This record gives sequence, structure tokens and C-alpha cells, in this order.
Amino acid sequence: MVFSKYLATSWFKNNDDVVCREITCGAKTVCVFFVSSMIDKSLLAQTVLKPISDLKSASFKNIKQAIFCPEISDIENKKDFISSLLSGSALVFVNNSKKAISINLADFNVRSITEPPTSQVTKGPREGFVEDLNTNLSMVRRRLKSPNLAVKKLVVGRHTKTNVCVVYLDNIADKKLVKVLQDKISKIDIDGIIDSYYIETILEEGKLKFLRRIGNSEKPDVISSRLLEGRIAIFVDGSPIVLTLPFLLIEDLQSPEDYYQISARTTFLRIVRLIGLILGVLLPGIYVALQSYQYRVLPMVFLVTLLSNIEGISLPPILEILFVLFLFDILAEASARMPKLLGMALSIIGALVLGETTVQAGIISPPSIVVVAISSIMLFIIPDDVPQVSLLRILFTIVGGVAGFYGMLMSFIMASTYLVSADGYGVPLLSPYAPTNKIDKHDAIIKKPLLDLKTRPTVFQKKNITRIGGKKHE
Amino acid sequence: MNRFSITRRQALFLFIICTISSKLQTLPCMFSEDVGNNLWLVLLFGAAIDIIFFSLTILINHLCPNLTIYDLISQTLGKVVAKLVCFVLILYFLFTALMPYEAVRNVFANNLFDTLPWQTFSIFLIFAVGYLAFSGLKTIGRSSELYLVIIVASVGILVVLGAFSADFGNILPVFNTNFAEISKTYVNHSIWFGDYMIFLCLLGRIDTSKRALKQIDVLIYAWLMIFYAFGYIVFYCLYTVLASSQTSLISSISAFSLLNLSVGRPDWFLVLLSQIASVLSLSTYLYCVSDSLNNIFGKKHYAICSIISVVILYLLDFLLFSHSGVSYMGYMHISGVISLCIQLILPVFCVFCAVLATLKNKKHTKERK
Repeated sequence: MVFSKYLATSWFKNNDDVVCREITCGAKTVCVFFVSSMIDKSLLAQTVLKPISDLKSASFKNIKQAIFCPEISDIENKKDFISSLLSGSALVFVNNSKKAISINLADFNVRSITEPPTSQVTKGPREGFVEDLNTNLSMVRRRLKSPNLAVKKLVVGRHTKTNVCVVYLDNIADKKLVKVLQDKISKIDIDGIIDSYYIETILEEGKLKFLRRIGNSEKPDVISSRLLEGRIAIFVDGSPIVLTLPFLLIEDLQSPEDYYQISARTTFLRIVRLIGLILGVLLPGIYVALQSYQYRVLPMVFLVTLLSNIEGISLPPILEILFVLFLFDILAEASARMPKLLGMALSIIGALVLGETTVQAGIISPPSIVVVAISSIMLFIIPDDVPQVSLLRILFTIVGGVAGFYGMLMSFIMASTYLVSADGYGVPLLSPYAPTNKIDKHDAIIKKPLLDLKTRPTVFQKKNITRIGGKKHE
Repeated sequence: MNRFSITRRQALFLFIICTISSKLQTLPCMFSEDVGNNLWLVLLFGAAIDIIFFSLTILINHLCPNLTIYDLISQTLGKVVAKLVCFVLILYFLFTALMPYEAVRNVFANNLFDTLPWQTFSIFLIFAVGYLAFSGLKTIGRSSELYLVIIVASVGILVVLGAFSADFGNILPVFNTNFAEISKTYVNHSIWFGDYMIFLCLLGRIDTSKRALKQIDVLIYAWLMIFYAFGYIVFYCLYTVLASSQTSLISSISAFSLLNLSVGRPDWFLVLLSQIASVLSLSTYLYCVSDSLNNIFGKKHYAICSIISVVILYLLDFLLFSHSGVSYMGYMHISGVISLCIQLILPVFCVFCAVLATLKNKKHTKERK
């Protein structure tokens, strides 16, 4: 039996989309083998099938010369046959040869490049990554036209054979970290990688994985600037989210837009975000603590107004706030899942039916709704989605209800101790504030103008840190 | 930098935080009970003594830059003596740690939770302090960097707020007490002094290419004491004879500042933030205890030592103040004399060891040549 026929009947017997097209060239039979759902058929016909059928004598060399495709290679091992076939290549076998020509004709339907819904901006580039790895790499390559931009390809997943690329600037990034990451990724033994989150979870360090230690972005401009800072990016085929590391917590307060407007405005917005983050997490707890224990802190007039509003509420403050928080989370989750057309109905149910009637029924008080609403709005001003904060908010509410300000302070210190002690790939998460790093503070909460950012963040590595006026170093 | 080393900057910040915690809580209330309006003189007198011994600590660091106290003594006088000194340090820091521990209790229990069972609620404090101490010196150092600005700003605002409503005429007449009275008050409350002991314990743990301690640190300490003395004056001018019945300077100093505005006590948030200083200083003391315990048991079990030291602190507080009914003042008078002896003898002893070690080193170098 011809070897290619053997392939089709033994390995791919259950795959009806695997096609084996035979062409007779003189005395020899050429077999073109491909997965019809994964390749560009017109390209196959023009660049492979027609040139081969025009040949008078079919030899391996002749066929190779006749094919017009740019990506072409010889393969002769079983594993490569399967992987290249399933990656969208056509395989050309001549007679009973066990060697094949692999021609990349992959044509997958890819979503067009749009602005990512998670990080929309009013100023700056609006491109977002898509699910195709090559498109994503091309978007970064277009911005970083440097031979130092290194792309190391790895294949992960026993069944998915997902392409994972480790991307970095060779003359800037920490080589040791690159090696560590490559080793870790290549050692991953898993049946499949569906999204970059799989890689993120596997690469996370530390026993208590409450905090994320790996950054991510859907925007090529953000990834390019992070690469220029000396970070390493990990692209995963099939995922529009690109991972970056090392990660700093301060990144959660930074928006892509920050770099396309005056630095004073950026600094102001970052301070607002920080206050929003802290208050968003603590406000429900503070409210519960004030109502339950420390009401003396409140101004008398405000206290009287508060008391008149909470009069007749049967639930204790802690349960009341937890109930409102729970209600809010239900509404948020429902609005995320519900079809857009039903969104209006949900708003009416949420705001009018649930909000007003529960207040009128005396289940919850208006101040508690106001507190949870303010807290939730504050959490939404953080540019990145940080799921931990809503959990912390519930925790601080419970502590505030049980032990007042005292308990909240102690819990706050414990939480900050955890943050302070956390490192991600040798980089302290709270850098440049704990430990202090004077140079890196130039682009932390306070952002200096672009021309003052003369160096790259030194926390990632100490070599080649000159950013402005450092041509000789490059 | 490993888990048990900090930068020079972090060590200095930690030191400042510890002085805030030791000097600006209960101490001025107790001073005013003994010497009235001359409370600030006692502070300056104690600070002057501290400066002398702080300079000795710097001298030890200059003579033997990268050695811990344990290493220094074990190299010169043997491991037994070193372990004995560690035991003394354990006692010293445990009894010192009880002070901010009680101060936190006073601030929260007396001002906010009148009927709260402290032994139950102190578990929160014990957990926070224990977690910090368990995380190691690096985490404590980083926390000091994170919180110093917040603590200093809170304390500064509180003192300034208090200064606006203070009648500074109340501090007069100055020097209306004799030196014996001042020195006696200092001896009775000397457990609150001797902040340089932290540096003594951190020697060899400060990660720096140059010397860990510098003469400028003494100057910083002196300036801090002058600011604290101002705080004491404001505090006394606000409360005069009632100053001794207050529980903490920090929680009382701004009490009158916002009353005219009838806005409640929003300054309480600042008081709350300033309490972070107590937690950090407590964790530093506990680190010193754990480190000394670790030295005694062979430098292998820091985690266990930190847990043991936290449990001992909790039990000490329970047995001394809650169970046996020892009064806070009584405890202070007894422990004051003991701690003063340790504060004065230990640096001198360490200088002696440092000189010995230097001579030994010189001898070795000569012999090699």
C-alpha cells in the first residue's frame, strides 16, 4: 500500500475532512494530503495541484521546485506528519516514499481586528489582539521593527498542540527569566491549552494563589511598551489575551490611555483610581463598623439623618450590607450573561423593583444601597479587571461587622503584609513602593512627562536601562 | 537580599516607626503624672542618654560591619555567652513588646470598645503581628517603607491639629522641678526608651555595601525627639492636670480641635492609621525575640520560633495584666529598672566584644603576613 494511503486509512480513518488527492505524473503517483476545513483550497489548486499535474516526471526535487508556496519544508517523521497536517499544511508524497513535502496553506477564519471591549480608550491606538497567533505577533512586530525582538515558539498540550510564543527584546529582557519561562512552559504536561489563562495559572508562583503575579493585556501598544520596559510576553494561539511578566501591582492602576495625555492629568487619575480602589474595598466595612460600633466618629447632624433612615430596618447592619452586596453581584452577573435586548428589563427590575420595593418593605435602608453603589462604582474605575477586590470587600464587611475599625485595621495590615511579602519571579509585587525604588517611581502613581522617563524600570533588570539618549547601548 | 535582611533605608524607617510607637502613646500621660508640665524634659533627658548609647551601637557596627550580635559574641567569648546574651535579649524585647501591645489595647478598648473582651479581640492583633513577624524581617522592612509616610503624616496632622487649640501658657513655669525627679521618672519608665536596641539586634542584617549605621542617624533621632517634645508640650497644654488621666497622646491630642465645627471625630481615622506604628513596632520586637530564640536553637527554626514568641507574648499579657492583676504602672517600675540595666550594659559589653574581635582579626592578619 502507498504510504500516504496507509496514513489516511489508519491514522485518520474517522476524519472525513481529511482528503487524499492522487495525481498521476507519468509512471509515478503523487498524493496530496490535507485537511479540507483548515486550508485555502483555491491556493492549493493554484500553487500545488496545478503545478504538479503539469509536471512530466514527478520526482521529489521537481515537485519542490514546481510549488509556488513560500513556507515549504521536508518532513519524514510520523509526529511531524500529523502536527503539520493538523496545523493547516498540505503534505505531498511521491509514490511510496516515507518522506513528504509540507506546504503551509493554513486558512482559518479569524475575527477581524477590533478595539478590545475590556480596555477601550478615547485616545491612542484602538487595535486589539485577536485569536490568531500570527496576526497578534504581526501587530507587535509592526511596532517593534527590531532584530532584537525574539520570538521563541513552543508547542504545549497533548491533544491541542497549541503554539505558545515567548516574546522579548533580546538586548533588554532578563535572559535568566526567559530561560526559566521557556523551561517551565516546555515542561507543561497537560491535555490541552484552550486559552492563555491556562498558561497563566500554571506559571503562577506561590502557594496561596490569591493574587495574580502575571499581567495581561489585549492591546498591542501596551504589550510593545511592556517589552520595551524589559518584560517578557507570552502569546498563546487561540487567545486574544497576551501575558506579560514580571508583574507589578501598580499595573492595575495604569491605563493604556495614561501614556497619551499630559502627565499631570495621568497622575491625578491614578490617585483617583487608588483612592477608589481602597475606598471601594473598605467602604461597606467602614459603614458597618460606623453603624455598629464607632458611631461617635460621625458628625451629629449626619448621625441623626442616618438614624432616621435606618429606623425600622429589621436586619443588623452587617447582614443588611452583605444582602445588598449579594444582590448587586447577582445583578452584575445576570447583566453580563443576559442578551442585550433584555438589558433594559433587567435595569428596571434591578433599580425599581428590587431597589425601591426592598427599601419600602423595610428590608434594607437607602444608605446601605448608596454605600454599596458608591463602592461598586469605585471598583469599576480600576482599568484592569481585578476579581480579588470584590472578595476582599466582602471580607472587610464581615470583619467590620464583627470587630469594627480595630478588626478592619488588623485585617488591612494582614492583607498588606501578604501583598508586601509577595514576589513574582523575583520581583516584589508592590515595587516601586515596597521596597522603594526611586527611579521606578517616575511612572508609578505619579507619572513624570515622557522626556523625564529616561530609564527603563530597574526592578526587572539592571543592564541596558537607558531609554532616552541611549543609542550607543542599543 | 534574603528573608532576614533589610536595606539601610528600611531599617531607619523601622526605627522611626518604633520611636513613634514608644514615645507618642502612653508615655506622656505617665510622665505628666510624675512631673507635670516638665514631661518634655524627661523625654529630652532620656533621649540624651539614648544618643550616647546609640553612638556606641554605631561604633560596634563600624568595628565589625557585617556581624550580628550573636556572631560577634560567639566569635570572641564563645557560644555559651552568646546564647546567654540572646536569652537576655529575648526577655528585654518580650517585656518591651508588652508596652505597645498594651498601648493598642488602651487606644481601642478605652476609646472605642468599652465593654469588649480584650482577650478575645486581641487575637486579631496577635494574628496581624504574628503574621508580620513570621513573614520575616524583609516583609517588616518593606511594610515600614509602605507605611512610614502614612504614619508620619497622621501623627504630624494630629499634633498640628492639637496645637491650634492648645494654650501654650500652661507649660509655664519651665524647670520647676529638680533633676532627681526627672531622672527618677526616667528610670521608672526607661522601658519606653532604648530604641537603639533595635539597631543592636539588626546589626549584620542590614543589607548594604557601606556601613549600615551612620552618624547622621543620631541626628535624625535627635530631631525626632525635638518634634516629640513639641508634641508633649501641646499635649500638656491641652489637658494640664488631666493629662495623666488620658490613655494615649495620639488619641487625645486632637480631641478638641474639631469640636467647634461639630463634625464628630473624623480625626479618629488618623488615630487609627497611626496605630499601624504600634503593630509594626510590635512585630519588630517579636522579630528580635524570634531571631534570638532562633540563635539559641541553632538558626534553623525561625518559623517555629516566631510562633512561639507570639504565643508567649499573648500569654504574658494574659497572665500579667488580666489574670494576676499586676498593675500596668507597677509592672513598668519593675521592668523599667531591669530594662535600663540591659540598655546600658549590653552596648558597652558589645563594644568590648567588638574591640576584642578587631584585635583578633589584626593578630590573624599579622600572623598570615
